Amino acid sequence: MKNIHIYISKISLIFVVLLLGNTAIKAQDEKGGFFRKHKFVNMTEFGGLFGRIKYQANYYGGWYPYPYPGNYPDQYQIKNKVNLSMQTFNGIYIDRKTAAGITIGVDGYGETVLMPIALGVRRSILQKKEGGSGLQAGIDAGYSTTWLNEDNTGFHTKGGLLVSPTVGYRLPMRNGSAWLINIGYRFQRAEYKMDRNGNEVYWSETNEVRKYKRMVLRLGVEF
Amino acid sequence: MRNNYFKQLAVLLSLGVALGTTSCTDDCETTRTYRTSVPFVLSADQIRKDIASQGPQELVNLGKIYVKDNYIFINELKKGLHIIDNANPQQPQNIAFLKIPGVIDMAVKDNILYVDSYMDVVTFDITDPKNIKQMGRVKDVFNYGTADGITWSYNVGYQTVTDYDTKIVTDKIRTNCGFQIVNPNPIYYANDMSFYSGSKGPTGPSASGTGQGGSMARFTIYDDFLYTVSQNDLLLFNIKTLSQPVQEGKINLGWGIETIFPYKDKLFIGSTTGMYIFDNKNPAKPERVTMFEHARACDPVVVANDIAYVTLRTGLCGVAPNRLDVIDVSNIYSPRLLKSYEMQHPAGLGVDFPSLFICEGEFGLKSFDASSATDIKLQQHMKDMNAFDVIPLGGKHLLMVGKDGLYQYDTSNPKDMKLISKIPVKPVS
Repeated sequence: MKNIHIYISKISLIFVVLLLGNTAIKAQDEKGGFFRKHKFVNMTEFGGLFGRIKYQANYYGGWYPYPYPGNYPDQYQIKNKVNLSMQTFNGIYIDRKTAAGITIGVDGYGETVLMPIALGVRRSILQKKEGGSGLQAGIDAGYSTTWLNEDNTGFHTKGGLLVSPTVGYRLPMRNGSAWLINIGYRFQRAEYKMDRNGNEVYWSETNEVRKYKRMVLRLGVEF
Repeated sequence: MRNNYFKQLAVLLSLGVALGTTSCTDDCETTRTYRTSVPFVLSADQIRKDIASQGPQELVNLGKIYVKDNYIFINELKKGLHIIDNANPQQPQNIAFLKIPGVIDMAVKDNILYVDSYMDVVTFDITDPKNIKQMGRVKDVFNYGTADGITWSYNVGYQTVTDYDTKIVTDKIRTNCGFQIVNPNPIYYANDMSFYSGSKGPTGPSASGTGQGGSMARFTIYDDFLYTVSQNDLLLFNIKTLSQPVQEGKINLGWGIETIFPYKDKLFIGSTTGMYIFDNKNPAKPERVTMFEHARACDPVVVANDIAYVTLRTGLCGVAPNRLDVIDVSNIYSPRLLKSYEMQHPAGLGVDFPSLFICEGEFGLKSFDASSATDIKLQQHMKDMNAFDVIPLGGKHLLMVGKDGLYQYDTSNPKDMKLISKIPVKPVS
């Protein structure tokens, strides 16, 4: 029951954010003074998070006491990983080249789904011709929430810091919108905790600190 | 304009460098904390030599308790016995420590103390508790035993005992960020944890000359016999010659035997699967009469006025519900369950009819009015302490032991028990 309440509150929060975005657009329609001066901008992108994992392969699987401690050097195994990422940036132009706003995203790392909420800045850094294609840099920094995540029994996921700088192309269309191709880096921190289990004599508990470090490649639209 | 381009190129380049130097490898580290057992080996010689009467020591890691006259014997698990002079319950005096490796159980008759020391049964003369002398020893009686979830074992051929220390280990592993379920790994133990006698059963009423046992009593004295239960046997010792017991019989009981409680001419034996009743008319040859089965649980038994009180609790012995079963044993050939009561996490219990005292582990101590077996009423619940074992002594006086200390209460009003004294236990680091 408690879970349902939390779920409802999360969903409603998302709606509130969307509604705020909506009113911002409406406000622009009404040609309010502020939004005439600072144009609203939305950049919605989909992409992948590319990276690899490296983990101890000769880990002794929990046997204790380990038969010959220290006799084996650590051996690592590598695997490449690609995960999905999407995000939407809603902001305003604070000057001719720079837009600032809020970024909300969804990043899936296997079973773990993180929903970052971040402050974002986009700035055009190189444009040869007014209205033409250009280079754009951006950075998002904020906190990854676990609102969309569902945990296994006895486990708890906690979100953490998100930092994601990108650089990419902005390719304007005739209708005033633009295509976006961004490439960059995405750092996300999360914690995965296992409650103590076992009995009063033998028990165990774990806490995993995860630092996802990925290359991000996203395609999207700006309007 | 040109200058501006350079500036922007510099920004781009530095971004590129920043990207290049940061790796794209996830960095996940799991910190595991677990409690486990570490084996160590002792030789039989070493164990037999290592007995000493020493000065008083701080109470640590308490096990069973036993009361004889004005003395309280408290077991420090597998290390020895603390001897408390309780002539004045308001100010109990810690007077001596008797070092016995592997001691778990004890019983006293007259001035002779019987203890186990891993595989042996040893007797001591306790006429002067400050200067206890070893008297006799029965060798190679037990092959293994369990206390606090740890089972030691004895190898007769090699004359060695393998025992285990528990310790808390913390280690760090680089993991794959949850992309495969290798984490968390299950932890396996070298030691079998299925045997457990953590339950604190109550003890038999005091027969003449013998003391009153602490709760988990696996040792009890009846007539000229010392009864001990191991994991699966009932062992009988003739103690006509007090200081030198002679092993006389061995009755196989099956598995998971925990406590022994003499009542009238019967023996009530608590196991993880049920309660055995033995007819003890001929103390040299107890006969099994019946067994009352219940779910797998830790289950100490006490009997008073033909009513047996059994507590079941979740723990290493099983996953049964936490409850109190009240069983009519007036006809020992067909014990009858009268009623079950919900409990929190009951361990030891004691009865001083019509009062019933139940230790609820971390939930404290409860006092009940048990004058009607089908309507047992809670009279007082003392929280904020850990209670695992209780002995109601005569004269409205209660001895209770928990992880944090040895408490004594005045129970003349079971609705409002008064603390007489407390000896604190040194917390285990």
